[in-house]
Amino acid sequence: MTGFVVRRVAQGLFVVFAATVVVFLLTRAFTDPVDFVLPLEATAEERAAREAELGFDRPLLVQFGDYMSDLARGDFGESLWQPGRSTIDIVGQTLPKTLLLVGSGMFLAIGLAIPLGMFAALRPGGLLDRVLVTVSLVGLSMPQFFVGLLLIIVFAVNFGILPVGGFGGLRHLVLPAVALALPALGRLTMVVRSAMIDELNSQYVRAARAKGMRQRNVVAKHALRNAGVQVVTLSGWEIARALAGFTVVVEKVFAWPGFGFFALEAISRRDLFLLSTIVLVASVLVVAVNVLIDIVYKWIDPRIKLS
Amino acid sequence: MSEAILSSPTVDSRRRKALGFLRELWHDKAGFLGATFLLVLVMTALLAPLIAPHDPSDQELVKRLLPPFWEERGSWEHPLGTDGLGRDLLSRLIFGSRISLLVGVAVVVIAGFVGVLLGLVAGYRGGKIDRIIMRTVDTQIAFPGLLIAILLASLIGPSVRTVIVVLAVNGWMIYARLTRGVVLSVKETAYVEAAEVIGCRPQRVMFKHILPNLTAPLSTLAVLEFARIVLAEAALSYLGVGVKRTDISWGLDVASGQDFVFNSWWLVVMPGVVISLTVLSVNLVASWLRVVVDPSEREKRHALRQIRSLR
Amino acid sequence: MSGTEVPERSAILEVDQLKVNFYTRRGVVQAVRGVSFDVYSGEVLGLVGESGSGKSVTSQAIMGLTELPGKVISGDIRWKGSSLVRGSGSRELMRRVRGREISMVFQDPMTSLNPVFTIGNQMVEATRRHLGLTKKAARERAAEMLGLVGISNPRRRLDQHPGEFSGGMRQRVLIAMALSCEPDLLIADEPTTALDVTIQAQILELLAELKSELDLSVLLITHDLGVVAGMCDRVAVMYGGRLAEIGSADELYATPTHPYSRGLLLSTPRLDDVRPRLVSIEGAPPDLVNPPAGCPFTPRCARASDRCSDEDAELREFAQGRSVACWHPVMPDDEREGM
Repeated sequence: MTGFVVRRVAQGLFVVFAATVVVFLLTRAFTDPVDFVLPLEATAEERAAREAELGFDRPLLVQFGDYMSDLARGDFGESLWQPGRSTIDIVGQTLPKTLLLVGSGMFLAIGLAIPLGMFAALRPGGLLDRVLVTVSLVGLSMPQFFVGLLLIIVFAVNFGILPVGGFGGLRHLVLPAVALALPALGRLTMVVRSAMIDELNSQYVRAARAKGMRQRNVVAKHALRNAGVQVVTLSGWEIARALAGFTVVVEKVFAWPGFGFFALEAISRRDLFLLSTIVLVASVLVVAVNVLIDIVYKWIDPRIKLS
Repeated sequence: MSEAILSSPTVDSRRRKALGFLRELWHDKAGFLGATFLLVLVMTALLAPLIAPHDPSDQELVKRLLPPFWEERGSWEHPLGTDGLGRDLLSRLIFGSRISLLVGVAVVVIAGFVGVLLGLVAGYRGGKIDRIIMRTVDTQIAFPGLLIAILLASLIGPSVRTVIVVLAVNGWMIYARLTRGVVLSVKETAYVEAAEVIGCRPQRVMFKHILPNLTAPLSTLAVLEFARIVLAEAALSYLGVGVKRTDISWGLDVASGQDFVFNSWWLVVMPGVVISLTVLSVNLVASWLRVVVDPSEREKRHALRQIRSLR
Repeated sequence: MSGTEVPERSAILEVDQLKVNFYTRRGVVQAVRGVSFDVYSGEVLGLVGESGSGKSVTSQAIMGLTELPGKVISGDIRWKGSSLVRGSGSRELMRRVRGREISMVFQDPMTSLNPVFTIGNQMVEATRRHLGLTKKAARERAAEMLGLVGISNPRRRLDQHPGEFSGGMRQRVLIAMALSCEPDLLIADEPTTALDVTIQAQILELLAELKSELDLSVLLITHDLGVVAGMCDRVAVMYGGRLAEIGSADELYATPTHPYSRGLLLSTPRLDDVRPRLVSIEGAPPDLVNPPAGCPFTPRCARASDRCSDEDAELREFAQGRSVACWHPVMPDDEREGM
C-alpha cells in the first residue's frame, strides 16, 4: 500500500511538472511576454532593453531554468494588473473562496446523488426512477452558466430574496453553490443509479435475498457498500472537474471572487503572470485531488486489500 | 453461384438489423424525440440563410430590447425579440446552430481520429510505445482542461478555429483509452490464441475482431462527447474566450444578454433553452444508442415491455 | 433407508402444474411447461436434467426468486398446504418462509458471497432476521454451524472474508448459512458443479450427514447422475421443460422406463463397462421458444410413434410411487436390453 502511495504521488508530481512546462511553453510560444509588460507605444529600443532586463532574450532552456528556480523559491512573479503584489499572494486570497464554493456545491451534489440514485435503482422503470432519470438528464444537459442565470432570474430578479452575486454570507453562497451542483448532481445520480442496479443484479444479492433478507436491507447494506466504491471515484472526478473549470463559469455568472473569476480578470487586464500562476495552482489542486481519490479507492476496496 | 447466395443473407440481415434499430428507436420515445430534434436542428443549420427572418448581424438600434411576440411590446416581426443592439434573436439562434454543430462535429472527428489512432498503436504495439502514449494520456487527463483552454484561447485570440483546436487537444485522450482497452481485451481473447495455435497470423484475426468490438462503445462515446463539446463551446464563448465577438454563437448571446437580465429575460433564457434542448437531445440519442448496441440491454428492455403488456 | 415400516410422510412442498416463461427478443421461451411434483418430509428428491431442461428455473420459482425476463405465469406452489404464489397471503408467506423454512444453496460459491463483508457478518444476517437472536447469540450459532459443516477454528474464521476461503470451504460456509435457521427444506442447486471432483464427494457426504442429523428434506438439483445415485431417495427427471419420469432412486436406476432416462443412464460411462464405445443420445434438446405440441423427446427417441409427435403424454402412475410421461415406456417387466 505504501509503495502504491509513493508511486502515485510521484506520478502526481510529474504531472505538476508537466503542467508547469506546458504553461511556460504556452506563454512563451504564442506571445511575446514583453508585449504584456510594455505600453503599446514602446519603441524598438525600449523593447529590446526591457527584454534584456527581464531576461526574455535568452535561450528558452535557460529561461525555463530560471522559471523553475523561481517557482521553487516561491517566487511566482509580480502581477501586472496589481503591480507590487505577487501573483501568488492574489491567488492565495482567492483560493479559499473557490474552495468554499466548490466544497459546498459538491457536498450538495454528492449528498443528494447517493440517496436519489439508490431510490431510483430500487425500482428500475418505476415512476420515481423515470422522474429522477428525466430530471437528471435535463440537469446534466444544461450549461452551467444557464443554470446560474436561471437561478438569478427566478430568485434574485423575480422574487428578490437572494442577491444577484458577489461574496458575502450564506445568502450569497446559495445560488452559486446550487448552480455548480446541478449538472454534477445529474451525472452522479445517473452513475449511482446504474452502479446500484448492477449490484442489485449480482449473484450475492440474489443469494442474500434467498436467505430471506428484505430488499431494502439488502440494498442498504450489500449493494450500497459495493457500489460505493465506484461512487467515490466518480465524485472525486467531479470535484476535480469543478476545480479545473466549471468554477470559472459559475464565478463569472455570480461575480464570485474566486480564482476562476480572477483568471478572467487577468485575461481582460492582460496580466499574463497572474493567469499563469492561477493555472499552475489549479493544476496542483486538480492533481492533488486525483491522487487522493486513487489512494482512497485503493484503500477502501477490500478486494484489493486481500490480494 | 456461391457469391449470389452468400451475399444476399448478409445484405438482408443488415437491412433487418437496421430496421431493428429503427424499431427500437421508435419504442424509445425519448430517443426518438431527441433524434427528431437533432434532425430539425441540422436542417436549420444547413438552411439557415433561407429560414432566418432577418440577418442575424443586422443592428437596428431603434428596435433594441424588444420582447418576444407574446409579450406586450412584442411583434411577429421579431418573434423572439431583439437584443441590446437590435439584432433579431430568432435569426441569431438559427445561425448559432451552425457553430455549435460545426464545432461539435469537427472536434469529435479530429479528437476521435487522433485518439483512436493512438489507442490502436498503443494497444497493438505494446511495450515502450504503449507506455509513452498512456503516460501522455494520464498526464494530460490530469490537467485542468477548461483553465488551460482559457489560457490558450486568450493567448491565440478567440475564433472558431481556436475553439476547435483547444477542445480537440483537450479531448483525444478518452478515445485513446477506450480503443486501447478494446485492443487489449481482444488480444487476450481465446480466439486470438486459438488462431495462433492453428497458425494464422494473430494480427489478421485481431483486426477482424477489433472493429466490431470497437464500434459499439466508440459510437456511444462519440455521441456523449459531442454533447460535452457543445456545452464546452457554449461555456468558452460565454466567457469570451470562444468564438470571435462578431461570430454568432449561443454562448455569446447569453453573455451579452446577461447585462440585461433584469428586464429582458428572454435574451438569456432563449439561447440557454436552445443549448439545453440540443444537449438533451444528444444525450437521449446516446442513451438509446447505448441500449441498442448492447444486446443484453436490448433483451432487458424487451422483457420489460412484454411483461408490462401482460398486466 | 432401512426399516420395515413405511414412515408417515406428508408432502411439505407441492409443485402443481408450474409454468414459467422467459420473455426474450428471440421470442417467449417456455422454460417450465406444467411441472408437478411433491417433496415429502425427510426425503431427498433429486431433480435431474440437462442444461435448459428447466430445473434451475423451477427451483428459483419455488423460492420466489424468478427475475426478469422470467415470470411465473400459472400453476401453484404450496408449502405445507398454503400457496406461495396465489392468493392474498402468499407474498407474506413467501417472505416468512424464504430463508427460514426453505433455504437455498447456489451453484457458484465464488459469487454467492459478498466479498466485502466477513463471513460472520453474512452468517448472522439470517439468524438475526429470522430468529431474532442477539448479536452474541447469532455469532455463537454461526460458529456452531461452521463446526457442523467441518470447518476448523470456526470462531476465527468468522472474521475472515470470503476471499480467504477455498471453493470447497466456501460451499461449506454457504451450506452452514443455509442451515442456520433450521429450515425444513434445503434446495441445493447444482451444489457441486463448480467444485473439484474430490471436493464434490466431500460436499455430498456432508449433505447426507446433515440431512440425517437435522432431519431435513433436500431438493437436489443436478445434471450429474452420479451425484443423484449416492444421495437421493427419489428422482424426478426433467426434459424440455416437463417431467419425464419420477420414482424412487433405486427403482429408477435399476429399471428406467422413460426412453430419455434410459438414454441418460446408458450414456453414463461406468468402470465395469464392457462396451467398446460411449453411447450418447443423438440430437439436441428442443427449442423452447416453439415447444413441440407432442412429447419433447420425440425427435431423439427410438421408440417414437406418430402419437408421440402429436400428443404430449401426461405423467401417469404405473406402480407404487412411480410415474412416467410417455406413450411407449419400457416397463420393468419387459426385460429388454438397450433401447
